[in-house]
Parts: sequence; C-alpha cells; structure tokens
Amino acid sequence: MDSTVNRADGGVGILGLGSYVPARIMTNAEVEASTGLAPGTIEQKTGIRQRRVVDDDDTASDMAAAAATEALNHAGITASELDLILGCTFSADYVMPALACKIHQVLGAKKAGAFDLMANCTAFQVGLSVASDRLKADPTLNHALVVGAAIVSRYLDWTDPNSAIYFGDGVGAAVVGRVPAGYGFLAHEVFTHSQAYEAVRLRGGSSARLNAARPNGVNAYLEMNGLDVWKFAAQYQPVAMRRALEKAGKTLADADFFIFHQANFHLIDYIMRKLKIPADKTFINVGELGNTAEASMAIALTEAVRQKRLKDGDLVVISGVGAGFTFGASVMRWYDPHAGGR
Amino acid sequence: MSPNEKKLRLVLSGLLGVPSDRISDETSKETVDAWDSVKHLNIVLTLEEQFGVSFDEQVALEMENVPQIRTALINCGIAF
Repeated sequence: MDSTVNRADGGVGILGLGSYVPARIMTNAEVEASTGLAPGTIEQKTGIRQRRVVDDDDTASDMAAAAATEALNHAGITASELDLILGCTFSADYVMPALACKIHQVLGAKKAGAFDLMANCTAFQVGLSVASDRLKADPTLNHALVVGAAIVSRYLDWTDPNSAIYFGDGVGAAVVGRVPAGYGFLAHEVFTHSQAYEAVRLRGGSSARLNAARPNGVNAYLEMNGLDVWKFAAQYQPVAMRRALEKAGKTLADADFFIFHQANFHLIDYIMRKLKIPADKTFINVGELGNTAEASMAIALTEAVRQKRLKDGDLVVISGVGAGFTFGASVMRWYDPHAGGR
Repeated sequence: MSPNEKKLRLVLSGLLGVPSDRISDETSKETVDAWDSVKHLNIVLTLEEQFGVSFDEQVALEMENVPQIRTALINCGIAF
C-alpha cells in the first residue's frame, strides 16, 4: 500500500484481485444433450458458449484460497495482515460454519474476523460495501478480504433447461484497504424486491425442507424462472446504478467503466444499449465462464484489470442482481498502486 | 394505415418472423412462440432505434402486445 495514505482523510478501495476457475470445461453440446435442447439453443438464448465445472474432489475453500492468495499477492500483503474476511457464497464447504472461517484457517489469517453473507449473485458487490463500511467505521482495521465463491454445478439438475444452461463454477477475491483521498469507494446502493423471492431458489437442505436433503431428495436442486430473472434485472439494475451514482454526485455519463454480474450476454447487452453506454466500457466473460453467481463480478473485475482495461482514476461502477431479488451497485474511483511511479 | 403503424408492423415482422400482414392487435407474447425473453429485449431496443425514442425501463418490459407497444410509442410522442 502507498505509504503516504492518510488513514484519517484517505479513502477505502480495492488493492488487489484474484480469481480461480476449475480446469474442466463443460461445453454447450454436453448441456444441450442432457437437457434435450437443440444444438445452438444455449448460445442463442444466453450468449454462453461453455462453462467451467468442478471435479469431485474440488472444494469451495480450496478454490477460494487460490483466488485469495492471488489477491493478497496483487495487493502486496500477507494473510497475517488481514483484519476481516467476508465469504460471499451459498455453496460453502459446509452449511455451517462459514466459508470465511475455513478460508481464515487455510490462509492462516490469525487476527482477522471472518463471516459469510448471502446475497447470491450480487453478494460480491454487497460484500465490498460491507468491507468498505467496516474499514471506514473502524480506523483500526486496514485490510479486508472479500471472496465471492460459487460451486453451482453441484446444485443443478442437468436435465432442467431452465437452470442448467446458465451456470458455471469459480471464485473471485478482492483485498480492500486504504487508498489516497479521492480514490476508492464513493457510494454503494443495495435494495431488494422480495416479490421475486420464489423466482430463483434452492429449497433442499433448508430448515423448511430438511427431509428433502441432497443428493436425491425433492427440491434438491436450484430452481429458476428465467423470465422473472431477466425482467427484474433489466428493470432494476439501472435503478441501482443510478442511485449509487447519484449518491456519489455522478451520472451514468461520468462513468468510465462498468462491471456487471455475468448472468446472460443478452441482458448485459440490453442494459448497456438501453442506457446508451458504449460497448467498450464494459468487460464480458459470460460466454466462456457462464454465470458464476457470487464469483461473477469478482472474476470479471479481476480479468478486466489483468487485461489493463481499467486505469488509475477511472470512475468504475460494479452492479449486480441476486436471487431474492437483491440489487446492488457500487461506485469507485479506481486506484492503481503502480500508476504514476507510485 | 399510418406510416408509423406500417413501421411498427415491419419491425415486429422482421424480429418475430411473422409476415407483416399477419401482425395485428392480437399479436402478443402469448400468441407468438418466437416472442421469448431475448426477442423481447431486441424488440425494445429496435423500436427505440427505429423510432428515436427511449422507453421507461418498466414500460419497456411490460409492453407485451401490439396495443401496449403502440400506447408506449404514443406516450413517447409518436403519432399513429
């Protein structure tokens, strides 16, 4: 971190990023065969060409540790310097304790507090907002690790075309810490429209459906009403973005780059075109990875930074929608610790 | 038929794969199989481009038949 950062007057932003996706590629042809869809249907409906899925011995915590280690290295800190670990997931190693506690154990992050939060596909953005708020509220905290982790493939009925065509597995991680004044998070927005509570759901193993426990019980798999999903996302994601920008005293036209939840290429394309945002102001990887749920925005941001799509001082909007439905957006002034000879 | 009515029917015909003379007030998401969620996004964006308008985000997703689309266009100042 920049040694000149003033803790009292400075901001809080992203210092490092990392991601991990499983090696195994599952093609559309495989999913179209299992769901009975005609060849080409998945790409036509979603823009997804393939996705990555875990092998039997992969765990969320191992994948999270890999992404987190890259993020820590990118930020130039060690796990012992973490004050907070946030796990954003519905697919932790266990129902409880939290995935964040397992990450804490694997990394050896001895002084950090750790807990999970669930906001599904928008959880990474919500996690960034929580980490940012905690660091701003408590000057004794310096570094938080926010991990978006998703092993969705283990919760899919591969014969169900309403859900199986969309998802992939992966993890993304960000180290949040102190940045110079004027940089970092400027505003966050999170709101929920719970009338769509039933539109995307996983009931098996819950307190209401305990006897339907996986692997073969009723309600054991993720259920999805695709029409509700895209309608809500298309309608309210722009609202979340505008609200966050307004809180920051900015407009859509001021933003230099957008990171969206990677649910469906057509949805991202629609939002971009509806809001008159030039196509080169975003990064899209849903075609290669599918919808990686809680990991999607983290992986997209990581890959965009790897490809040097963001530059120091850019106004960046990160926005998503998750089951519930919870919508969120964060606005940040991008800080590149290596820019300008820092 | 007004020029804008003709334009509306041509847009829907092209996107839905239905002959323009078969586009009517009965044409809707319920009656045309090809009018799926992806097609709906294309309909909204193409109408905005062709008519030079910008639909309210909620209205854009609720116009699921020809009369609703016509009303939304009229509310954007397009004459029929």
